[in-house]
Amino acid sequence: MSLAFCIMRRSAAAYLFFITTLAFAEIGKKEFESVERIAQYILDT
Amino acid sequence: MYLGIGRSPVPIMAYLQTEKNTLVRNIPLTNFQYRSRHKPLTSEEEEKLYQHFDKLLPVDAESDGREKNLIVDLAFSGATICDTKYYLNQYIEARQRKTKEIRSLAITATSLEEELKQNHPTFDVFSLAGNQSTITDAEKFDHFLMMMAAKMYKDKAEYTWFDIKHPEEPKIRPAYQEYVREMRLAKSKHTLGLLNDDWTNAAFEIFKNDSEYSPLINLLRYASTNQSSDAEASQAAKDIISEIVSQKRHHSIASE
Repeated sequence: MSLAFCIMRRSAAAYLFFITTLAFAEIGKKEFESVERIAQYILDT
Repeated sequence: MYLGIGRSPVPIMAYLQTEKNTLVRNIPLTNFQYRSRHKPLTSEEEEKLYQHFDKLLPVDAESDGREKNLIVDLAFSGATICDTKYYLNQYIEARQRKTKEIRSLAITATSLEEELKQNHPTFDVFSLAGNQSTITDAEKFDHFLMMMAAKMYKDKAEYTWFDIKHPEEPKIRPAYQEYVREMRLAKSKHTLGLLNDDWTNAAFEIFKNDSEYSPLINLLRYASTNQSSDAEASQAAKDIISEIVSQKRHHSIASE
């Protein structure tokens, strides 16, 4: 397996990772902070 | 009472549901732009919509004296919020509900905030433009919006879709309650500093140095200036993400 092929697979996998696994991923820090910021704005107004 | 329109604001509504003394309702309304973009509903369709609201909105006794409602949605043009508000007001009048006030909150990207405020002066508009601490924060936030716009949360929505032009009734999806529990857990973890970095950071790191990243963010502006519907913008967001994946794969193959 060539090095370029490995890089290609890694790059494609990185993109596909967050697109296809979001539905199964746990809520993460930045995602939660974005949600919380909007929700707190709603609760405060 | 907080009314989430469609599947885009699912994470926000799930968070609000974890708060004490909040009344949250998710209202499935697919491509609901009747008046702004499409012909107004017929009287039969209006009655069908009211029956849909009857099933989802609490009667006055259950709303525990709450007379104010806030419509929450992700907005590119504001058409869905505008039309939903109109028909909700019609519904309240037709059913003689006690609700007195309906306000609208449009969650949008920094680049669209001023435009939405100008086009819809009665809207309350939220973006990071007036709330940001750094540009990077705003860019990350916009990326989060893109994911909401691309319906990345549709599998966590409380109901399946409801289209006024389609006979199918929306069905409850148990995944939503599971998501609310997950949000409650995330809240506790965040307080304790136990939340991990996530896909948002990973996505930002991947995109920040790409020339394709800029069009991704500017898509929101494109969607608005071209008067495309929110559904079209969502589809365009998905297409652009797919395109980037495909281009990256193509470049990698070419370099090989």
